[in-house]
Amino acid sequence: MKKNIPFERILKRVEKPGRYSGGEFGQIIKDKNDIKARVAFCFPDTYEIGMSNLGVRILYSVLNEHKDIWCERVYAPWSDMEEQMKLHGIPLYATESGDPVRDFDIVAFTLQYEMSYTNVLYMLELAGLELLASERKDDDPIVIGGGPCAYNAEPVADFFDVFSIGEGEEALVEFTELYIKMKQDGTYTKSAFLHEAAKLEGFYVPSLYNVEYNEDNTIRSITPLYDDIPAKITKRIIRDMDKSYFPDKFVMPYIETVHDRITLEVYRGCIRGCRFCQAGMIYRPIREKSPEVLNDQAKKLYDSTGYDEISLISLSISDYSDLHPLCEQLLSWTDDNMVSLSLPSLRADSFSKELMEKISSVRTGGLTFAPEAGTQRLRDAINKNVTEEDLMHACTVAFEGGKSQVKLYFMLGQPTETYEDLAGIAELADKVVDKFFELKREHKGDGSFKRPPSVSVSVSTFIPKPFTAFQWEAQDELDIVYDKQRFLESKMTNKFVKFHHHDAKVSRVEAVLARGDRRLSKALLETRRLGMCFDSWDEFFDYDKWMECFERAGVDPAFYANRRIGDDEILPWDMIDCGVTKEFLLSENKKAHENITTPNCSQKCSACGANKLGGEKTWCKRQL
Amino acid sequence: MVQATAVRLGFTKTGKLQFISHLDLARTMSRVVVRAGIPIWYTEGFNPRPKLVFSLPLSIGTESVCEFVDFKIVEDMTCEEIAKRIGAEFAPEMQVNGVWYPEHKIAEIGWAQYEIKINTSKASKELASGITELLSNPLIITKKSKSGEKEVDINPLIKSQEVNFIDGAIVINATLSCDSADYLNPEYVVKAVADKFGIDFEKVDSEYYSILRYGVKLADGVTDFR
Repeated sequence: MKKNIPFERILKRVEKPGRYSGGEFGQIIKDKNDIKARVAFCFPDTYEIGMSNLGVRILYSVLNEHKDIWCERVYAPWSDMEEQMKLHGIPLYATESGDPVRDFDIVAFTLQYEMSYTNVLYMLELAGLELLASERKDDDPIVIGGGPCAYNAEPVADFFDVFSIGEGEEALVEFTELYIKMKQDGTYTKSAFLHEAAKLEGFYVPSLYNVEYNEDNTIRSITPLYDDIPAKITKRIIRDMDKSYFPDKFVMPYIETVHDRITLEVYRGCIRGCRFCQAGMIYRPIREKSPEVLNDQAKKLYDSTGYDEISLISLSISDYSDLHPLCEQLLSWTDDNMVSLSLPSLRADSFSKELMEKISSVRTGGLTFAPEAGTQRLRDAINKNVTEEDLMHACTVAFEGGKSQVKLYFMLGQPTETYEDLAGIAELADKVVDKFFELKREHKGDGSFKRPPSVSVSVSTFIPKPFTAFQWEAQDELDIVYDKQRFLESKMTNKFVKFHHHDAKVSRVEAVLARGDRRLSKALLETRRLGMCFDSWDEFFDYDKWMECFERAGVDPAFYANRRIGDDEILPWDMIDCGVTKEFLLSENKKAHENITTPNCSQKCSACGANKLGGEKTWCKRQL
Repeated sequence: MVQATAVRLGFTKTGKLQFISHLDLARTMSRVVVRAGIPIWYTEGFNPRPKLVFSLPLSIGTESVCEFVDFKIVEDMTCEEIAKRIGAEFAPEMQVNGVWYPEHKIAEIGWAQYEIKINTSKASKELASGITELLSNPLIITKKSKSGEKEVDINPLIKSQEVNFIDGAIVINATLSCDSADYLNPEYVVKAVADKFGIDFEKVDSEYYSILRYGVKLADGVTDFR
């Protein structure tokens, strides 16, 4: 063991030392001696990304509200820092205390995207912990995962002791209290604790479920090892968002982070039901916060942070029932205090002049829309209920309001897609440009429309995700994706249109991990042997290395990414109940192939099943 | 137009906060004054921000007990009240030295005083005299800037220096030029010493240094900047 040298000396030798120094205003420091459980909350990516996550900010605060718990933050060190840490024998440490993560009681990882899985292993290794849960002992920390990827955490099942399914504000506190209780009454062993945890609502302990496979590699059965743990784990939700915990303080980063502002969560869930979208299903039912509560939270955060921007976040902000009252309440004090308001996730069909004037009162910039598909036929099939007319209306409002930049997001390779649909993407972009010039002619001589239009078209590759109507669908093989990308490129001839597409190889690996089963843990173990990390970063992602890992582990990526899964198959995530039923998703899948749309929750209840979870201020009640 | 009063805040930035860049400090400070409820003057224009003017930049890796920032207030508030409010919004490694009405213009600043502490296995009385010798004579270094590299004799930029061998380390107390045209970053002094005497800071276990800015003086080198 090398001598531990003071931190300052290391930080002088790395880029952006502010990522590692801590010491921020608002960080929570407690006396270790008063604490019964120490939680290391790990974000498997850089500080700048991790500090921007509202969920982490909420959970950090709610855990620290508890007098017996001290929750600290941990981020993935960049490669230069990794080198220094290894050189000087410094293990992964927590930002607040500087204490090694391996000495904590609970190590929690938030799993926001599949491509961060390699960083989970990277961080466990830096912490000096065994990667495999089965090899960690009674005095090692409990490693827990949560977040959207926990809905199918099977590919990383071997590395985690337990997963928290659903919303964590109440669940994580209960979980930690159980830990404290068992430690105190002397009944704690790792296995006894995990068995008890598996009985809590919304906790999945993978080692307590046995998975058997058929000869064709599909799953034969998933069985709990004990009678007293549920065969199906129902996700946790916060029933009343108005009463749910929300922090009135934030840790204030010194260095610039990705989202360095006040973020207000306006509601959870989404009424829309796009058939490719996982977030739209797993966060159901919709639960809204009232404008008074939101305005109050915004004011408190403004007073305690001094931020000059408030961002209203949700899956589709314009669907919020009280958007106008909320904006009015906020604008009654934000303008005078030089605070700007931003509304990401605007939908094209609800884009009014009034709304744009509100958001542009302090901030400008381009506008972003996601039609997702180039033709109405395909937009119907994926249930993205936006029409060309909606888009043109929104662009008109934007252009007449002085904007000249529009960003359009599309997805390539969705089920039922044809080359006609792809050509439609270029046509739609051309129409937006035409619209600009048509309006420019109408406004001739009034001094507006000075800048040329700029339409940027960004095309990602479809990834079938668990708990969506498209969870059974195959992703296009790589060469088909390349063909489609080339075809699109050839159609993008308008000089005012910029075309950009995502790396198809990243999307393929993401598809494998998204729909993977436990056998993929072996492949992930190989990624660590090859020293892989930061795979969501272009400069680190290496497709060939991934293929090597799959091969070494004896798993076929095509089986997971490019195979149409049978309607009757047992899915790797079938032990999880997200509220929305498999029957509903299957019926949505059938409707997609018939180009039939489903009304959104504000129009009609489609009986997705999520209303059984209850909840206040949902659309469900208004319909039933 | 509202009558605005200029005030100057003196503060420290030590410990972990030596790793926070000037730009990050500026952003942090504008949030500090907002949450402290200081009736501050905002910049005009499209994207209004609290108007803050820092007197001297501080490099990453240098600690300081004498930083200054100027701003204007548009409503009456006593200096004591401003100091109290801002102090409550600082992280522990920033402390308020005071708030007062500026006595000098920023352009009057001529020199800053530094304590440079070098820990090295080579530290000795002899090394201390060697360094005194080095810094007392013409000393050509390569200065990097946006416009490229430039050879400069830094000797005229060192007003005074005292080198001691204390508790096994070399401690340099130096007064260096802060004139905007001839700003001498103390890192250059450390580098010149390391190059001359073969101190290898790659060997972090035993070879390392720290820099503390502890005084800011006018062009006469005597009067404290207030």
